[in-house]
Amino acid sequence: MTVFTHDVVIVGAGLAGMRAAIEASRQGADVAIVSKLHPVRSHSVAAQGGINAVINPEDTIKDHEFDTVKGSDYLGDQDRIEVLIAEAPMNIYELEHMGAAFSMVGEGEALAQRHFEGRLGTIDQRPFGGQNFPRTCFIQDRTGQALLHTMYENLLRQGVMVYEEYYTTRLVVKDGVVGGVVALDQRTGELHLFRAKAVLLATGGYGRVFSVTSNAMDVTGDGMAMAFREGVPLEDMEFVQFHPTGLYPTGILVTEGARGEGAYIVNGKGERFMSRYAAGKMELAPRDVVARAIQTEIEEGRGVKGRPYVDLDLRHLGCAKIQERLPQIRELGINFAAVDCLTQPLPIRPTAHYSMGGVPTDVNGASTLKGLFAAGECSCISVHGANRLGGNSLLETVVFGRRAGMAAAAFVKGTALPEVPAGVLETEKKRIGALLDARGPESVPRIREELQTVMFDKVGIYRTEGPMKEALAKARELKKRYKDIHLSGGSLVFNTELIEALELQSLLEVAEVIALCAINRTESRGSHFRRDFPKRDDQNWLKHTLARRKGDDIVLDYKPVAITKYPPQERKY
Amino acid sequence: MASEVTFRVQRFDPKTDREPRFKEYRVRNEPGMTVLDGLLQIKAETDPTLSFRRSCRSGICGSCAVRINGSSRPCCNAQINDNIVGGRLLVEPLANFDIIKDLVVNLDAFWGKIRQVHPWNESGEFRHTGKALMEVTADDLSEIRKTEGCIFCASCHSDCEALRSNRDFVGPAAIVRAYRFMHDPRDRLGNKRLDELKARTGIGVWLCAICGNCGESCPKLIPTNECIASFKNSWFSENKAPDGLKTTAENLEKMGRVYELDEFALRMREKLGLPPLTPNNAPKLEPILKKKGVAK
Ligand SMILES: Cc1cc2nc3c(=O)[nH]c(=O)nc-3n(C[C@H](O)[C@H](O)[C@H](O)COP(=O)(O)OP(=O)(O)OC[C@H]3O[C@@H](n4cnc5c(N)ncnc54)[C@H](O)[C@@H]3O)c2cc1C
Ligand code: SF4
Ligand code: SF4
Ligand code: FES
Repeated sequence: MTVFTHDVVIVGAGLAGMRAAIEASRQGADVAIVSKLHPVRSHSVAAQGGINAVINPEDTIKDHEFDTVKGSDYLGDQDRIEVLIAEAPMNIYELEHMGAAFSMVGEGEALAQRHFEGRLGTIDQRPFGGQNFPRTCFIQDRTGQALLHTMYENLLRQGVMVYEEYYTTRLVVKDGVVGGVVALDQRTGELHLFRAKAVLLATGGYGRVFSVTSNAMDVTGDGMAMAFREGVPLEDMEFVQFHPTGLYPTGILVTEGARGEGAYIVNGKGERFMSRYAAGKMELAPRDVVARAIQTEIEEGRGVKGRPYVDLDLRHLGCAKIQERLPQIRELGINFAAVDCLTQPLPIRPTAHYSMGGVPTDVNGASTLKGLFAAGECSCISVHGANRLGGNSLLETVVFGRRAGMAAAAFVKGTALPEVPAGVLETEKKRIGALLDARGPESVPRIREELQTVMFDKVGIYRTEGPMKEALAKARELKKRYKDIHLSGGSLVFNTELIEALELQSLLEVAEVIALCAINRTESRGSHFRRDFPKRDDQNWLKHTLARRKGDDIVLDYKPVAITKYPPQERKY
Repeated sequence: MASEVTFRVQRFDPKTDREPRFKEYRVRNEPGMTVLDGLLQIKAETDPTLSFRRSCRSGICGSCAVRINGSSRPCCNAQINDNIVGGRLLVEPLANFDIIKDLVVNLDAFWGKIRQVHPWNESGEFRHTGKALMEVTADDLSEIRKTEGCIFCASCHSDCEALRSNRDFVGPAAIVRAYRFMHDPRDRLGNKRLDELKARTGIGVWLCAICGNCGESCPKLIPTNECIASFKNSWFSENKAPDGLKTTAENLEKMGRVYELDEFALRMREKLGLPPLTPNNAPKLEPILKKKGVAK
């Protein structure tokens, strides 16, 4: 048990956490990152598509703003969206200066067919769903990976201290001020106190609340749960984006590229059913529309072979086109589902993809708790509102990661090291020790699976009051059952059984909030689709949800949406 | 159809074991299941104490590399059915690293080597300007594209023969990273990165035994051997090769052999009934050496 002291402690080493750390360090603060994964393993690595910015003279800031506001189904705060979009171009150039090698105009094309006419040396941009201009910058099909590596390498260059594979178990708060965190060094099994003048959460989303998700196994909403337990509110937690094409059974993402190239989606009866849902756009309709269509087919028994999936059929594209244009998708099918899309359709179903909700912050990442900052997917600024635009979340991590890092560094100047509650480390050690000694009849994997299944089935793509209430009751029951779990004990060295038990606490906490917020919002907006309230209701619901823990209860509160330039209209594509 | 398969998994708990041991588990094997799925099933249903790293389970984060039947690779994109040998599947931790617990190894040395090659652009301060630094055509990016896809899974280090004999060897992944930055038109460190790599690692890249394992184990098909060879070649052309190798090259140039044939060798050949050798092989080798830039 050691006590470490830094000016700023950042929890999480994804794009948001590392960008914040680099900035705070550049401003002269003594910064350390505490992360349960090695930085390079963070889930930002999985993003493929790209990152949005207005860098083409023919594009306009106003268009990007409008696409984002409309995409958010008018729930995004427009003053914050303005910041996101205004600062996007400089952040792209900054990433490029840091070393990211963006795909360039004309790259990969035969010399004779190049279309760039006078745009040599320009970053290329591709079209992405829900936007009226091709403004998504990318690095081949591995944008997140390349950006995460670039960020990590700049973190090394900046010399920021990283406590790798340290699992943060709690925030340390005294008299309404954050004074640090407690974290478990997974390698030694020792618990340490990190004292700090500012703590910045960058712990990512909560996709693992659901049984089918494109998210990594570590995306368990830890940061949000930690803050929530200390009385910090969570905003708009009912909004969870589902991507239409997750590979069956795991939910790994099959990119939009496949549909872009002309793949069909076909049900168990062999019908291209999108004609019944979006005859004009068919498979290329917006994500939420396609996801709901697939889910309807599955729920009404028209899945393939009676199972919960439909087919993504590429065969008519021909071997040559698939091999040339979609080699990664073919590889994905072969490696992860043993299906070769040249000869067989890929089994797909909608998958939980992105968490719009999180810790509410201002435009500089400051939360409502003194000394606590948040950035990235775990925060809710809110720039995504009820539905995130593809390519805007990587953007959010760098724009607001940078801002939060700067603000945290400014905050710690002239701030004294806050007091921490007496014996906090000992108390936490006892709590972890008790967990390790738990020998009840319940199993962590079983509780987790029951939770994920009920959340996916009842608080997923389609929502109705009755089933959601069942899910909420179930989540609460599981929370009780958690008290009787069984762990094997043994040594604390890389005890992943213990880590999974701790992560399950976060999942249970977050799931309860999601279910409650979803039950209360009696309208449909963006990703939140109520069968019993299928219309958007601006009269009553053009407002953000705030959930806060009060003892055993959760109380809900609401706050207005900031509208500057774009009055709400119907969201039609 | 579901069937069963035996996973033979190496276990090691530093608190109770002196030596690694093996434990066998029965795994329900459904078509499409990956080796990681198998390990997850064991952990959830049979033995929660089994430790291994995993995160994305989609082959991109690089966490989950282990040795499957002796070869290293990420296990989340390895199909069980492709890896069953005699009804069994052997899972061991990466080699050439110390074990922390079970399949989890200590990668500090691996990351340290990556850091050694200055994996960043030394293009000065990064600033917010309205302009990309990259005033280049797309053609200049092909070397970056070939190498930037490395996911730092360390499979290549696990299978590396040179690392097996000397853990200080810088290793293929760091060499690949150095290569990526040396071929970045924005980078200004250039050969300094290369020289420092040599200075810091003694014999450096030359320790590579050209066994080819790294290229074979790479899940992202990075041309590791090509990168290593290019370093060797450029050191050679800058006359920075170790002395022993320079002598070898001189010998090759002079007589077409790596070392001089002495009386003893010639007598031995005769005794063994081997055909006599031409004393000077140089004319035959010359065109090759010229092409490779070894001879002037
Ligand atoms: C498959 C996929 C594709 C995507 N594609 C795109 C795209 O094309 N464009 C786009 O804009 N967005 C995309 N997204 C979304 C985007 O990738 C994420 O929103 C973003 O990367 C989140 O970054 P982050 O830094 O907030 O969190 P993450 O990268 O998830 O990092 C979280 C960090 O927190 C740490 N952490 C968590 N809990 C703890 C704890 N208890 N203690 C210590 N550390 C902890 C982790 O170790 C990790 O370092 C995609 C998402 C997915 C799933
Ligand atoms: S070729 Fe060289 S670097 Fe690659 S594995 Fe063999 S010895 Fe190691
Ligand atoms: S070069 Fe290949 S094998 Fe080596 S770390 Fe990178 S991805 Fe893994
Ligand atoms: S779990 Fe990420 S590469 Fe296997």
